[in-house]
Amino acid sequence: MRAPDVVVAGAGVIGASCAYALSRLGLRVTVLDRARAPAGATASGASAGGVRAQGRSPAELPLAVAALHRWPTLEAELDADLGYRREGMTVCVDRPELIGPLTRRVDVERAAGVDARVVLGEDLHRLVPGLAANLVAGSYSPDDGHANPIRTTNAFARAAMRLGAQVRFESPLTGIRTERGRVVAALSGDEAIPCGAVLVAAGPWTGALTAQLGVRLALRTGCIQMVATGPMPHALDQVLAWVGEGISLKQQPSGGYLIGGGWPGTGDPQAYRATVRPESVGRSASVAARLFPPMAGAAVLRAWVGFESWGPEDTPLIGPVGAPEGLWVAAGFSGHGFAISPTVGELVATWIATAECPSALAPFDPIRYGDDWPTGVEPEAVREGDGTATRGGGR
Amino acid sequence: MSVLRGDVVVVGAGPAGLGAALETSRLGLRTVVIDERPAIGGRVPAQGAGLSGGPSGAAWLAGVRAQVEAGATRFVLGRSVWSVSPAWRVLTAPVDPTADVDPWEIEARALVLATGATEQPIPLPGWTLPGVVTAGAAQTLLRVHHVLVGSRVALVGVNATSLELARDLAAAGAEVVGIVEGSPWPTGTADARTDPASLVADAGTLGIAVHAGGRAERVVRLGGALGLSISSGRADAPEQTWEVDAVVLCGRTVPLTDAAQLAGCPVAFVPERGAFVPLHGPSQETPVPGLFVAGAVAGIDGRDAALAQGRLAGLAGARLLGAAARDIEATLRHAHAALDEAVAAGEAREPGGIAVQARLASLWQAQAIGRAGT
Amino acid sequence: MGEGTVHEQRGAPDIAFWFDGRAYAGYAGDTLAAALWRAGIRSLRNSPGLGEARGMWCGVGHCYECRVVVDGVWGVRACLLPIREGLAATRETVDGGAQG
Repeated sequence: MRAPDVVVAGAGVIGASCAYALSRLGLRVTVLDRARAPAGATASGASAGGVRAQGRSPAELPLAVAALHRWPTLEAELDADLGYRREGMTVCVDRPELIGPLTRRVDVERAAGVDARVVLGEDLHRLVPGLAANLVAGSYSPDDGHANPIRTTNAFARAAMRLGAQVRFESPLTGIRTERGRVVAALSGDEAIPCGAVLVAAGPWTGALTAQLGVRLALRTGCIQMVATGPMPHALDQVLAWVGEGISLKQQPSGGYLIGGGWPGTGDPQAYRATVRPESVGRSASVAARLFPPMAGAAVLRAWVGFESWGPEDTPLIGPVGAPEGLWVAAGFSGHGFAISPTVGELVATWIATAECPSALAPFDPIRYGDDWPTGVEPEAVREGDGTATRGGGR
Repeated sequence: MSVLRGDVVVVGAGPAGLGAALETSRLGLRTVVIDERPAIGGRVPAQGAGLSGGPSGAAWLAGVRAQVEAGATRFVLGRSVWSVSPAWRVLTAPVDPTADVDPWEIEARALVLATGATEQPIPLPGWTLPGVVTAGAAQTLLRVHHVLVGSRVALVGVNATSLELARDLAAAGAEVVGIVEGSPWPTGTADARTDPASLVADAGTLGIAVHAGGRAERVVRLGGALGLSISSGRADAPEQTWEVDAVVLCGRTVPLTDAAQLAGCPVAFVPERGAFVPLHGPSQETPVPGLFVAGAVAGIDGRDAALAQGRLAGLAGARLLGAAARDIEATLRHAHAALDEAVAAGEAREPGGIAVQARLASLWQAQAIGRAGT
Repeated sequence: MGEGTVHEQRGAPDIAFWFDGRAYAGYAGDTLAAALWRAGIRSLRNSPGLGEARGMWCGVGHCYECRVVVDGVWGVRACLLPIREGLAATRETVDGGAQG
């Protein structure tokens, strides 16, 4: 077995997408995962599956626009059913004073090429039949939608394997060996895997891995929870979000509703153990019913949680860390990395292969904040939201 | 939304749960028992007198009920447990959405899970048609509600359960067309080793046709009725179809481990039981502090053994909480002996239970060694 | 046979309840599924994807095949729900668009 060019740590959707893109460029890739991502308390496993350009940091808009061009053909490309639906998304507000910030956000998005517009009053209620009467305005984009994050992660991994990548589950990255300031091998337990580069895409566990080499990253960890209901008659075509209440809602093809929005779970990332927070189940379900009354009688079937990594100003850290050479990171996607995962993979792979930074990734320099940013678990931080929030209340 | 606070919370009001509650309430611990059903007893009220006679489930339960009601156990019935967090906070919801939402939350220092077992489906094509049910459903209809599952009934699965049910259905006025094998794996609970020939002989004396050599292949709609297609297993004999209005599939049971897993208890596959069972030790303790399991969920068969395990779990929980009487160790020894006796008696009826217990014991020892080494 | 045979004399069922807009009567202690079964009703809903008739299967509250709608709340298990005077339950409505 020849040594890989790149070892990717983390088989979540970002790691798997990068592995696939690197393999397409002809590089030899080995992916390591501590467990069997996306299974377990991971961000990919707890993602609400939003595929959207709306409601993210302006710096990410070029990535989102490019990703939305790629998603419609991704199923054919990966030869997999990803459950991708492009049925639009409406982000709603219930207070008139939030319409101004909403409009300003939409303006920024339109300038970046996103097909989004503000809808008010009756137009909003015609657009979303069944929406609660107290919602007064919304931003709508017909190109937004959703897909299944677990299927997508697995599809990227399988496609990478078909192109020759090796994926090793239950094989954590435990260390990185350097010589003369360059990465020369990835360590997994007793084994040293010689390689040219290591890409750490391990979500909340990224910082601990790079810290071993003295590289401190401005990442913090959150724990979010999703709720799924039993099947109901088909009533909702698009994805809905309610700014300020922090709820996102979609109805799956099988009829059940998926409730997200960043509700906190609880857990210890170091122990890889997260548990459902019962209050989040009840409250998120009742807020969802207030947003969209037709789903009010739905029975909650299950809830699950995952750890997410959050970057500075809710934007990711992507790129080489500088020293040692050959160490790359792609983490901190702040609860909205799923939608842009195809493009992030493609651009990171190009960067690694050509050593030239794609302009769309320039804002995400992993060491741009130095040592000053706080790190740690802040699950409550994900609950904020207003009309301009980069989170936009939806995922 | 109120919080109900106790010392011990027991999930499941079947024989194991009742056994635990008998002991903990006797020792003065505030005991709360939760069950989804509207009445206590679990599956016992649906049980008959057995193939060899003995008390019916209802008669057996009457004895236990009297003891339980003499104590101070608080019963919370008609409510489902949907969340379990250490140590211990149990959230419930009413089965009937128009019922009072309280008590929403139950807190206790020890948790006994006696959540029972469920029947594993025999997924014949057509098994989802209305009128096709499990043995448990047919037994509940017959003995709890006095309703015949059908007027012309076929049973799939040749085992003690199907024989007894066929006898009782016939005695209640149903026409039992016959019993036929149909499952790809052994049916019955621990009775995979029960001699099929002796069962067939028993059936003969009961006047029930066991369709030897044949196999149920599928259930179809026949106008307003159902058809059970039986293959003969012989190339020269065509399939026949029994026209019935109910088909009862009599399969094996598997422990309902959801609550145990929510509570963080590891489960292990027990080949002798053919199912996953929560890991537990000789006094029903689990690797999770303050968590005990007892009864069918712990892999055991039979209501007497379940009651004995429940009592043991209750005593072990009481000892953990320090509410022990002076003679707790002696009482525990008696409880262990009672359990061994019940398992032995069960073995005589349906062999296999002792092998299951032996496997569970060795799994427990293995994990204890593993934990000691970390 | 001992107690609990269907020949037991209990008088006429006297608790009125509704399922899918039609009135039925049952005995105190009946579950909704049992009372409907006695009345010859086996199908309690249609499956969301293919619209197949479905009814009680496990009888103990595990499988949710017997689920009905009570007071606008979905997912109520008829095999666990005791009947009471005036109980009104309805079928889940089938939707051709909910493909699985």
